Amino acid sequence: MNEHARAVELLTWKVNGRLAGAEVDWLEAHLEGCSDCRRELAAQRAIRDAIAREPTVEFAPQASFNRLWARIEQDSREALPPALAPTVAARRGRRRHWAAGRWTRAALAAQAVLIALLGGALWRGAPESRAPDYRTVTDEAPGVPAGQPVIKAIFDDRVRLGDVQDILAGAGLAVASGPSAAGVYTLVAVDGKAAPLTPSTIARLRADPRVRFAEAGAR
Amino acid sequence: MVAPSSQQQQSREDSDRRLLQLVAAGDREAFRELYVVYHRRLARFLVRLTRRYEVAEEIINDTLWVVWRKAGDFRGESRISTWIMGIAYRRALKTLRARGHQLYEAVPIENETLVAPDEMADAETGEWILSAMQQLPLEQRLSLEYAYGYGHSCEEIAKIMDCPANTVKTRLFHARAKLRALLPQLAGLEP
Repeated sequence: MNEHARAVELLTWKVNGRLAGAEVDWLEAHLEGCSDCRRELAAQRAIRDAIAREPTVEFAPQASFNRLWARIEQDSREALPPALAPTVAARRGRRRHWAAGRWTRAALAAQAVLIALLGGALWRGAPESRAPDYRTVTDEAPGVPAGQPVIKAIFDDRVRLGDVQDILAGAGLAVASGPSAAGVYTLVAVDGKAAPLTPSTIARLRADPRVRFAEAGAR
Repeated sequence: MVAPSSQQQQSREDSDRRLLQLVAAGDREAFRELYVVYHRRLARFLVRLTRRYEVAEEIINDTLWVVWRKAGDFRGESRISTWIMGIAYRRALKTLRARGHQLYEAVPIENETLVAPDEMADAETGEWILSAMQQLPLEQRLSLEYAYGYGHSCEEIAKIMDCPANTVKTRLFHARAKLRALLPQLAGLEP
């Protein structure tokens, strides 16, 4: 490549600000003595300015984002395991992206963990006598000693089981009971001690977009 | 929009990286923030490319949908903007091809020269250049957009378009040559 051709090639990166190092000085020296390259530089700057001009219309991204988020939530619902979403599962078989792989495995694993947790909670809380098999938000959570701090939390309707596991693991929490008829989970510290149930744990849950509600309580 | 300086690009990259880490953890608000940033960066260019906002939005949403799903897989082999622009490039090609060739096929330039007035104001020059760009093959046109509009380096464009760096240089060379053929005044601009 001759000197002039090399200069023309470098002009693009001078014009867009990406030229660096010794090539900057070399090109400047070439431009000093080459009127063709100076004209080419002017032409390339005109191209840059034309492309970079601001649009005359303003775009409103929020509405577009809302449409995308609705799609993502729809995908999440369709990714639920068959036991929870039998009708969706049939459709999912036709969907290439969500049909198999780590999402499904993760969801199934999360389901197994949550079932185990809930099973454990129900087993711990199994009363000796017959009692209503439902609880209200204000009912005492079974298996949680009186006075132990708990957190009452409601997850977003569309949250996946894998998300619940992720949220709980991140905050050092486990499900003591729930969900209630109102969708409320009673959460306790994983190790059974009060330490993790600090204001920062509550704040962490509240900051998570997948958590709709989180409040401290004590039983 | 002016092609960002290196310092601005680094600042953007830092901001993008922070947001992407949060997105990988499922943070909706961070995703919304990242979406707004890339909507702004992509919309003008894609509307110009597709001539229809709803098509541009479809490409943007397809792109950011992939970003949402793959955020946790990003390993930093490139700038985040290069990664996302590469996704947008592939989505744009796929969408345009699915919608028919008339949206992206070049109009032959033989026997066709755009003649602009001798005394062109800057704005008019810009209009003529953008009109002339419509005549270029898609790959050449996109190369111009990435280089002059977004300020990507040759290597970054090669990564976005998944081609060798020399191909990028060749596309830019032919694109400029065709613009000069369409707009003889371009070659006569005063330095």
